[in-house]
Amino acid sequence: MKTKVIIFVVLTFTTLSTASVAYAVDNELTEKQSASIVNYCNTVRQDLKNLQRTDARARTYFGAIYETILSKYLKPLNLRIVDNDLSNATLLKLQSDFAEARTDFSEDYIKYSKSLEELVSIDCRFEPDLFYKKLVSTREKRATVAYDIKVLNGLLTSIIKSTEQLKESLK
Amino acid sequence: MNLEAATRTPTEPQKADKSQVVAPKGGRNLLLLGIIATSIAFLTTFISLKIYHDSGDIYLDRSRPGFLPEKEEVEKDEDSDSFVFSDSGLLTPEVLEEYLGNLKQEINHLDDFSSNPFSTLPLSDSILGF
Repeated sequence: MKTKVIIFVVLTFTTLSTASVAYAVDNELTEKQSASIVNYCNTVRQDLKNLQRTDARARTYFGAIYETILSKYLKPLNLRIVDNDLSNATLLKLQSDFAEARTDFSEDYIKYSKSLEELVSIDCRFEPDLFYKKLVSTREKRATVAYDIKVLNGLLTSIIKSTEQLKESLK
Repeated sequence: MNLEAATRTPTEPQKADKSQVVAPKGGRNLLLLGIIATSIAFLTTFISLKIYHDSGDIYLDRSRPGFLPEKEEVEKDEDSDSFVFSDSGLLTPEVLEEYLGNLKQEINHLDDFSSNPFSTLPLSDSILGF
């Protein structure tokens, strides 16, 4: 029994060590990459600042359209459905899901934007390792925002489909 | 004149001194009030900016310098208010047809900007030159 416990502990420790080494290797900067970051630091930071402005425009543009769809299309439609003594739980749920997804988009964008601003503030000439770690983290947060947009677009497809079904049911 | 000086009561010189003492004290209080008011103003401004930054609103606010909207975006916003769908009234297939047409037009605007606006490509090692 005691031998089994020792073997189990050793195996677990070995597995965890291997996993942590693999993770460290994946996110470690090579010397060549480190040199590139130091050499092109100013260009990279300028590119990131330009990206900040582009992203701000994209967020406003998409945010405005999503807000318009929610307030001028979805909400009045659901109110009008109730006004006509009809029932459509699907569209009501879609409205709720859409509102939630839009909030997630805003919140995730704020987290991403904060991370990008912190990334830009790092002087990569002197801290290439820290810069790269922050870049990886910012990339992940950007991917989350991209996923939120994918979810919202998916909901829009469902909304169109449900509205068309409602239209057919009224004929 | 000498008679007046001689008949002056002992309290009169004190009155003259008292007025001289009040003036500098009032000036000091005014200075203190100014310093306190300025400090409160700085403190409240600092707190407001901190809240603005920490809440994340700064990242959503495009009125920041360098993040102002383009002229064509502002004009587009003014044009987009033409269709209004009422939340009351009879719901017919024709009404829903018009609704769907305008909704699809609104959704198409998303593709006008970009099909994948937040792709990770701009932050990739290859694009950044590493």
